[in-house]
Amino acid sequence: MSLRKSIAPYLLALPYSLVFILFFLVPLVLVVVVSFWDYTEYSIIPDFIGTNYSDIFGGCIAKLPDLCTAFATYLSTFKYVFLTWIFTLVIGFAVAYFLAFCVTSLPVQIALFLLCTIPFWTSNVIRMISWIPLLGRNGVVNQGLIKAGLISEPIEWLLYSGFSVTLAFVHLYTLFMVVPIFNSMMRIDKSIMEAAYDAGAGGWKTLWNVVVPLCKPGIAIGSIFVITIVMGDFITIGVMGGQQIASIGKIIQVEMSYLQFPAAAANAVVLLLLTLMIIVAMSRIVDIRKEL
Amino acid sequence: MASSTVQAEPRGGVLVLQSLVKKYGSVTAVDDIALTVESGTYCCVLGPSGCGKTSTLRMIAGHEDVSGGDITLDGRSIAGLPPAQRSTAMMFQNYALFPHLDCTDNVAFPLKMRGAAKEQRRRQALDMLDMVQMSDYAKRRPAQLSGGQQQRVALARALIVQPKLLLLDEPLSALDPYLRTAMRAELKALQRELGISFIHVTHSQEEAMALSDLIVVMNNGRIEQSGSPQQLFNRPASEFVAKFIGGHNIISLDNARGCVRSDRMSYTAGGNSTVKSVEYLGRDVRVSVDSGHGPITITARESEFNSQPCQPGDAITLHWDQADVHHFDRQASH
Repeated sequence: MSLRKSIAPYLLALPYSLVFILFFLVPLVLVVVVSFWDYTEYSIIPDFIGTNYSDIFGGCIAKLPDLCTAFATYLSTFKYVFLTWIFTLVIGFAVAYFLAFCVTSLPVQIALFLLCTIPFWTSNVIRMISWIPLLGRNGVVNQGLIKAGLISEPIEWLLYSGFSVTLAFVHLYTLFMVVPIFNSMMRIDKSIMEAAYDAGAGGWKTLWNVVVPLCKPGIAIGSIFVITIVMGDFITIGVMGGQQIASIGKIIQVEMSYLQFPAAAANAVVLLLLTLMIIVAMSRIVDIRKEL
Repeated sequence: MASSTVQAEPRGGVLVLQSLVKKYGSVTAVDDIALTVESGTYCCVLGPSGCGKTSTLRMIAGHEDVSGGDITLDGRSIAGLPPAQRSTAMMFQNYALFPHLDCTDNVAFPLKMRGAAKEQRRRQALDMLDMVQMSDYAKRRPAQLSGGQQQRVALARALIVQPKLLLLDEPLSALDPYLRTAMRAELKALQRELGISFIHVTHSQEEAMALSDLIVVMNNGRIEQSGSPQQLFNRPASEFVAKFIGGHNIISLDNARGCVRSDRMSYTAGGNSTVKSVEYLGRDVRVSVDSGHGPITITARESEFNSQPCQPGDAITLHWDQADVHHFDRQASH
């Protein structure tokens, strides 16, 4: 009996542990191993060399202050990460605040929350592609603006541009900010807000001195979601950028398509390390465990 | 908190409620109440849940809008003002300390919101923490404190703005019974020391009796009676008050109802009333009786009871002095 009791928790954890080990840890280790292998146009050779890594940033230091391809690509990826992060954060926080504090009836709260999740019933790609008829050269927006007499020529930067990429990212991933921040906000006791009001804090002061500090774990979790997704993205940037905008994910994908697995693996390891560094830095600032 | 029994000069703060009304949609929570609380008064608002006592407190604090009537403090109407401009401070039922701030910053928070410089507000906060004997815990977060300690911090935070009126929403209900009695005495001592009025909402008549200069008994959104504990206990205005305060037996008179204190009743063996239960309480013995008046409780001294013991099932006759019968001022009530 006691034996069964003592192994029961491990049995419960076993299926997911196996999935985790087989489909996450093992491939990850393989990627790291392969990143040190050698390759030619037609073969991959088990080896232990660092050239895959040095090739990524080859000549980058010497070229400064001009940016080499790798630096420019990372910079471009960071730009989209930052833009997406800042917009999803502001919009997500506002939506979460509205849901948590402005909507007082629970059924309405649940209904509105479901409304936020309904777009997730369709795939990412479809939601992304739906922007094309809207933003294209002869799309709804351009035609509308021309008919309204606001512009005479179609606006070119609406689609296949940094704008459309950022728009698609924000559209796709704001909910990943809303959910954890909303979760943090729902844990804030209503009487704490009243206590702030009683102490003389107005709306903005309460927001800044009470709500934001108490939402930090939610903000951190949402940020990690958004940052990790955008760091590795190549589909959204490809589709919405008209295959014209570089990203790390895109580089890895191209290398894979040329069967340069070791080079792709090395790029993936660098990307993983950078992303992990961002996450570690964030969890240094905010104690996420409180929220779990 | 200082154990000094010196009563400070009242610092002002005469609270007047004039025809105060609170409606939630079609429901009237507070129904046209009038009350004057003189400065330096410990006032307990007592009543069952849903009687409107918390709504009344929250209207005074400024956390509920007033549906009708007015609230004045020292002659100044405060009904439309935000809480921080009312010279009141509220202590919340669950203390509502800010979980992300340590004790010092929690106590200093109202000063920060009023724009005080960091050094000044921290110094004042430490003084306040000292007053409630919490200076050793200045760096702790609320989660690291016990319920009683959190309450002291909440008290310090409320008092740092030097309010004329402190509003306490069931301040002792979250504490265990032992701590409740201890904190009760400290609250009373603090009120005397500060000389300001405390408005304390509670559903415990024992708490109200122990603390109050003025008890306000509310029921169904109205004030049933307000007065000193002695007035309420010896001359309850209505059957509701007598029942709620406890220690009274309701009896039917010729064409009215009245009450007799349970310790002023006695019994003799034989008769048409039946003993239902006997509880030994140490100093007293409580005898519950089924009688023509309905259920009656007699609180007899132990020695009294021993001279004439009875058991459940015994037939007895109840006795009381006509002089001990109190007639209710208001008969219609419940």
